[in-house]
Amino acid sequence: MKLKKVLALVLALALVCTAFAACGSEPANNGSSAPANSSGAASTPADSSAAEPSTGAVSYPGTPGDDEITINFGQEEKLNTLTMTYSHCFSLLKHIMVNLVQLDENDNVIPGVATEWTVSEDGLNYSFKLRNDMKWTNGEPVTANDFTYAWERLLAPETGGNYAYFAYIFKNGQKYNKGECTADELGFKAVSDYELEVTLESPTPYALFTFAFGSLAPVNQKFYEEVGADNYMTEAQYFNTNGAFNLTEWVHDDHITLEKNADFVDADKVSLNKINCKMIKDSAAALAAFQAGELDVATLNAQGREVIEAEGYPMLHYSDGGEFHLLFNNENPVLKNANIRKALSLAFDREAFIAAIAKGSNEPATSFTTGVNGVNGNPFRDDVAAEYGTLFEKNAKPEEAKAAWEQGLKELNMTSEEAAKQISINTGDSDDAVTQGAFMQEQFRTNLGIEIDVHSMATKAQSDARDNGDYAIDFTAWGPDYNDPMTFLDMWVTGGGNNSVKYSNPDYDALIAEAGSTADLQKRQENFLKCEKMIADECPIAPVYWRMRDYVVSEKINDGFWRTTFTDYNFTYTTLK
Amino acid sequence: MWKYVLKRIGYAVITLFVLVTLTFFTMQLLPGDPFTGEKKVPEEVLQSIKAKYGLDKPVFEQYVMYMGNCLHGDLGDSMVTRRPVTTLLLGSFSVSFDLGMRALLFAFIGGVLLGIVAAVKRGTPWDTVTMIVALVGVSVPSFIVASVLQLFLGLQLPRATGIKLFPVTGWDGFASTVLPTFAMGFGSLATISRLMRTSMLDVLGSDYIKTARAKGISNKRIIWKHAVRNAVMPVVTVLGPITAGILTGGFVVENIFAIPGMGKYFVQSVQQTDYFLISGTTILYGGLLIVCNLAVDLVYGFIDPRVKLGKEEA
Repeated sequence: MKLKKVLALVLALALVCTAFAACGSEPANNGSSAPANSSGAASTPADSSAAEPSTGAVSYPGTPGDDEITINFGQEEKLNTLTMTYSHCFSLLKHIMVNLVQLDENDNVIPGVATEWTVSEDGLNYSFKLRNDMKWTNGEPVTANDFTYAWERLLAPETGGNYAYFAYIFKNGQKYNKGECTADELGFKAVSDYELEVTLESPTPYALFTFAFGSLAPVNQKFYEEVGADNYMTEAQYFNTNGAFNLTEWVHDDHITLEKNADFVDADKVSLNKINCKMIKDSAAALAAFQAGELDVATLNAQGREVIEAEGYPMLHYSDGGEFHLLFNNENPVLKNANIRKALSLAFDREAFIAAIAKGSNEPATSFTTGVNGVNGNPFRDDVAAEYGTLFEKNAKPEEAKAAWEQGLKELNMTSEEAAKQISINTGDSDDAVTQGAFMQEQFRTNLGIEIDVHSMATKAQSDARDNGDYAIDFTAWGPDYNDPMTFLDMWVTGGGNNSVKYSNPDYDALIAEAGSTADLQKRQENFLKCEKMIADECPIAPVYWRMRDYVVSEKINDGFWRTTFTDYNFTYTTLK
Repeated sequence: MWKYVLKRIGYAVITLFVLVTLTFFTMQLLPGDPFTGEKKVPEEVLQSIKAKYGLDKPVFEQYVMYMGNCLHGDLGDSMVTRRPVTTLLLGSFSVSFDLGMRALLFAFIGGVLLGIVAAVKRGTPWDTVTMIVALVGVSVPSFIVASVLQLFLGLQLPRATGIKLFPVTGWDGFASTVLPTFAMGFGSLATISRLMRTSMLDVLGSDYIKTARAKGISNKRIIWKHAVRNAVMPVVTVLGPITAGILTGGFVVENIFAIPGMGKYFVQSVQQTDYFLISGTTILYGGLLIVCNLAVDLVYGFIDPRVKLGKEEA
């Protein structure tokens, strides 16, 4: 009898364990859950206005209703401006909230609550004039205090805001977050209800861009204190916003409804009455919903792209600023050698990788940085190409790769087998990740003649290994936080928080440090270009591809929306046919 | 009998306690924490987030705090969505429960009927057809059933005929429940029908049925009044675990039809190392399993008067 009870207990436990173990594969990423705000301005407006349907056999008329659209929000995440972190959430926010300044369809800064502003010569002081006719949902006027209050809350340690460090651009921002100074020492002040003064920690060319970022959205103090920090923006009734739409319904994990805000200052420019945001996580399900007329927009994965291509329905694309690269652990006994790293990079066929694995409109990465503009307002990666041509080859160069490999072996005084044994590739455990690992293995086998092991592991285990430097080669991505090459290039400074390859070069550090402090924008650009060259020469990493997103819109939608690097989607001013 | 029930409830509480304790300590072994991601945040920011959830304290202290809160019905906040785990689970469980009950009814009624038909018409085409259906049901996984239904009934049918019967995604109105219910229940229906057939054949060959036949009782009456009641016993036995499994949601089916159920939390919580959500789902699933098994034991007593609950203890 006793044995039976023990057995029953063990069985119950085993059942629970199987329930957890049952599903290992990740749901397909439908495009909007890249960590952090992705940003950049590589997409052209032509991308979004090219929504003319072809005269092909297939037609997707879209959802019913002539003044509303239905889009896919994807996975539910928190929407509190002070704690949220996902780009698809920041995009939703742009429909309901207006920041001090905002981004237009080319990711350029345009007025928001602030109508005009001046910047001091040293680039440290900003003074903003705010419009006086804007109202919150609760009827309160939008004033300068709403910004200073929001920024103070963002920086307050008890808020636990993941993106508090975006407010480190303000003077004493970091000190306040660490609890080392008081709120009145912070670098912002409401001079009057409609005048705001800001002092920065150091000259920051992309400061205005940061003011448009969702984490720095205003918060109405009265409302925030009424509902409490824990409730704020967690249910529909706890939203108090100032944008073109109001969030009127939030059925968790199912849908969010945005309804036109009749009191919005630019309400006459908004022609939609309603935006329904469904939460479909699975890309295949989202495509099926689009095809069945339940969605007006669907982001496509590789399979979805093939379906739409076969049907001949027009597809749209945008660059989300994602850059995928191989990380080489620079402290690995073999990978510490630059020639070895270079050999691996040369042995990797980027075009073949896109054709076989990444698919879609993705582009081979011929340099590192993407999605952000250089000093002249052109895409920085074009500046790099103009200066140096192709820094990373699109196709594998087996001969050059072997030469570099031999050179590296000589310097390390090792045989090829000995070296290969020290190297392995870490990948995730999704189907895609496992295929990627196999592809890399095959590349190095064919083009270098070496055998490398692949270790497939859960995503968290993979990032843990990366953080602890417990890996040799890893495959990962980066996306820009703001429209400036710095968001990519400062990653590889000695001791940098995201420098998981542990690359260290005093010259590189000096170039970045100088770029961070100088007010000479041309000098900055020169330094950034030199950094790109240095990455190509020493290969602390090997860029693989720049991501492009493919998506479709229904024939119901006419124009007025955009999807760019720094705006996952914005349908505020969409017009219908 | 009440003594027996009380005793079982006592065991259930102990089981749950052990379950939660084990889960709490084993999940600390998961690599990473809820806040590790692709992008590093400054150390001080990470510290203040951890402090918000009490993760800066020693593990044992966290455990005592957590257990204390559990007793008050507070399962903590999800570290990813920052909403209370109880709200999260109850909201999504109600959807999964709704879907699960439909699937369960469909599987039970359909499975028992198919099993009876197959057994009574043994050796005829009826038997062959129903058992082929059962074989398909057992061997084809639910995600394929779901995808096939979605493609043909949700997408192709309206394209071919212009009549839209079932929405492809969502959980809104009866039409949206049909396909998921079928996808979810089909596998269990197959299991039940096979079990029912075997057990029915067993019963039909037994002496008391022969006696009944000899006495000239109608075939209909024999089957429904005398055979089914005995034959259904093994089905009821498997119903316990099936119920717990179906009610807590099928991750795959819910994912394919974008249904806001709780199936996804079993997977997501572990992937995201969302500590309180992991233990929350464990408590719910474990509790449900215990309740279902208890219910099955009690139901035995009603179906089969020979089963005397708690007799050995009395």
